[in-house]
Amino acid sequence: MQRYNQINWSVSHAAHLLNRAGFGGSPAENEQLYSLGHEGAVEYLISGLTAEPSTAPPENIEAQNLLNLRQTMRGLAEEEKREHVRELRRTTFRETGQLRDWWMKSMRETASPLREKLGLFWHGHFATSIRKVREPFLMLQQLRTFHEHGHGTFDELVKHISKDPAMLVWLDGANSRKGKPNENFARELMELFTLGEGNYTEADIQEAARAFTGYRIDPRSRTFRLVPRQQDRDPKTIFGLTQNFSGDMVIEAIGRKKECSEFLATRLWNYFASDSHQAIPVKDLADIVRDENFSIADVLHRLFTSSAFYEPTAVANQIKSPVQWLIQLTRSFEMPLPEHRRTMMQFQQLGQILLAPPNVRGWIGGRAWITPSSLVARQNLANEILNRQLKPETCRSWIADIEPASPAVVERLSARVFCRPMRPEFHAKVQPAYLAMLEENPNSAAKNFVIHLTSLPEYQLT
Amino acid sequence: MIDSQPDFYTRRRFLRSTVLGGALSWSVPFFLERTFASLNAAAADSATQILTGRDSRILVVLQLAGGNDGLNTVIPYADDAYYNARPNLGIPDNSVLRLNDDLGLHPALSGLRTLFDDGGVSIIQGVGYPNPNRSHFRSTEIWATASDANRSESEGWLGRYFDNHCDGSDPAPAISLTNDMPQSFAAKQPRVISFSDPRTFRTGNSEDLSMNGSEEEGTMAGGSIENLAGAMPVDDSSSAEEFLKRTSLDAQISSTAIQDILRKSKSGGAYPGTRLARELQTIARLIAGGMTTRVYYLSHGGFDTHAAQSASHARLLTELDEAITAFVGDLKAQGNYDRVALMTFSEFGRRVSENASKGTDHGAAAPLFMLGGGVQGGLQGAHPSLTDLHNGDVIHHTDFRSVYATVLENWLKVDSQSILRKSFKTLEFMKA
Repeated sequence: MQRYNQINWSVSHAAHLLNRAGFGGSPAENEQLYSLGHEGAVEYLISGLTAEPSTAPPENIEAQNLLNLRQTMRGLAEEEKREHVRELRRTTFRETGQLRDWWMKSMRETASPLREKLGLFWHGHFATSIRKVREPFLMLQQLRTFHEHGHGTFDELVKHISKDPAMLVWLDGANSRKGKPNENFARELMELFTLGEGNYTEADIQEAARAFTGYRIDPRSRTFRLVPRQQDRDPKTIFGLTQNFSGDMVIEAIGRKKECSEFLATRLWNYFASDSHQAIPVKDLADIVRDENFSIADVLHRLFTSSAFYEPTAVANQIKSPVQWLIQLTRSFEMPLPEHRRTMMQFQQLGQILLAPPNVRGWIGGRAWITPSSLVARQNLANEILNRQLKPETCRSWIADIEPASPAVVERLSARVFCRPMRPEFHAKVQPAYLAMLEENPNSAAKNFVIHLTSLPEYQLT
Repeated sequence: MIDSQPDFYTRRRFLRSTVLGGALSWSVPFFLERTFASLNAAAADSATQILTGRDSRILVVLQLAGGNDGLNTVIPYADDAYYNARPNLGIPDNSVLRLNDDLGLHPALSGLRTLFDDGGVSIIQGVGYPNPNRSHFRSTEIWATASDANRSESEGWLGRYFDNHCDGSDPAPAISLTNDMPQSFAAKQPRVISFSDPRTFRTGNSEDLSMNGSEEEGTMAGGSIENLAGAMPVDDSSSAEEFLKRTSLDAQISSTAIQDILRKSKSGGAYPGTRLARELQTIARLIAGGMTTRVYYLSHGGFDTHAAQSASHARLLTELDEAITAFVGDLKAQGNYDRVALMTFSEFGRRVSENASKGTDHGAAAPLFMLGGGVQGGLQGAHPSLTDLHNGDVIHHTDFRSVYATVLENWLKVDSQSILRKSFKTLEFMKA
């Protein structure tokens, strides 16, 4: 894969990098990233991967909370039991909300955007839902795993995930034992997490399932625990190889298959670099994945320093996920995130609820985000948030140094809204709208125009 | 009811009335201009294909969410095993609404019984799938994606129907009266419009885009139509930007159409005051108003009756029965009854034996209802045995995908195999 030519480095490319390796930013942030030079900018983003979280997770989400409720429930009368179940539900609901709030806030506030962007990637990749897990504490542990190990080597991450309590509940691993292996995890491991359909046999799944038996969740600490007597330690034949496979060994065997590098390459490219309707340089990327020994941080470094990442076909043609959409909106306008519970209903309409992906395949993404109703919901939500939170004088301050009727106003404001410089044809198209607003109400014209721009189809792209 | 001849909402008419009718101002997104030229040209030679909103068949999918107790819905009142398993919850045989010597309906379903007697209801019994899953979440997903129980799929069966058989010419081919998109519609390019309240499906500036513009071909000021360039491809090779512009246009058209129809059309007959009835009434009004929507979806929740089930189940079935009765009456009065088919489904039935809390736990197979003017009424298949059980559940004899296959082949008139990814035997519940 060809290396990016530094000569082409521009604010426009810096903005593209920040949009994709993060959630966009204000014009000043784009300028700042640009000033680091291309190598420096990529370096800055990559180094953020090992940063501490900028916002501490909610402290009250402890394994004990639900355990205590469950324990005291034993031996209660029917009526009291029901009240307890309700309390359990309320607690789960409240803690899940706190977790979402914290996560969204982290994405909004972070100084290490790639760290958060990658965390969201793994959440969609190893898509696990609170709707079955029902323990916010376990979901929090899984997010921590994504953050701590998400930038290391892929097989280390997969090993951690294979022992992740939320995953053990989600794909029934916690009930899988010698003589009665549950195939759910082994199947999704190969089909959805590492290899893709067609790159393994049914027999491989059945044998691999035996290797993951005996993985348990400690009833008190709610962390991983191996129970040897429920483990199947007999030889298994996987990918034509007969060995005393452990779960970790299965994951290593998967990692040695070429298809694994191709699978990972495709997923990373789709998330960071393109929409799904463009040819993917799979072979080249898979080579890189193997060259870098599956180190995610190193692969991302190569991706962001490849020329393909900055091709015109890759720039501004990706449909924003609802989360990207909201985080980018608030980052670009430098305003606080609306409380998640206030936007929960709308986010259902938009089709993305964190910690509750539709199923183990995660969100389909791309064009599947967009229906006529989800588009209208985006327009209305942007309108509502900006009307409430954006002050007319703030918008005026962005253009204070320019003659109000000058075409430069439109340029300046649309660069802010779209987190990237827009084409001259676009400016010519929207200019009349701005002038009409200026005539109607000079004081709030900038604000009204900004809101108008967020309702355009182009705004859904990044 | 709509008193005048219904309006038909097409891109062509929308654009003509907004662009040529003079309503175009800066508030109309500028991408409309570009679309107009190409669509107007296309419309000229497609006069024979104008959508009438009167000739296509409509499917209404009604989800009974939570797992409806099939055994207390279609009741084997002549079977002692039923009363043995349900000492508290069994419906006394003298209050069952008898369908024949073995089976009857829950007493709350008097409207459905009348419809059944008229031949408008097919009751398909013992519907389920192999290796039934008892999680609401997972089993709903299996029904939505029409997958095998041990496989996960992203796309829904209705989503695949639209991906495979919808040319993109209709701005609103599917409407779901739910806040979020049901997984049944998940697709590469989902076509469903979902809203829990139709009034929310509009943007701040949609009033500027009213449909009340002139029908006549006018000339646009400045004659700049000639200058408007660019076609708008609808296939999936189009760019993301073109796709977004097309969908945005569809949103404006369908939003305007829906608001317009709901404003003009009065209530058709008396509906009860329940949410389900209100939603079915909305659907009936949209049908009457000439929406060309092919599939409507709605959900009636609360069927997860683990405790003290008698009263709550009766209430849910009463709501169902009254709402459907009003809906059918409305459709008949409109003259649309023959082109609408309504199908119920639930993620699972419930355990044969009642539990200690006078409720029932998650089960497996259950009956579903299919009704409408095109339905071949009657009972489909035998009632599953109450003595030959699997883990306390009745065993299905009809795969739910056979029901889907029948609906796809014999009602929506498409090949089912490309949608269900396997061949399933069709059943005899639609008229030829």
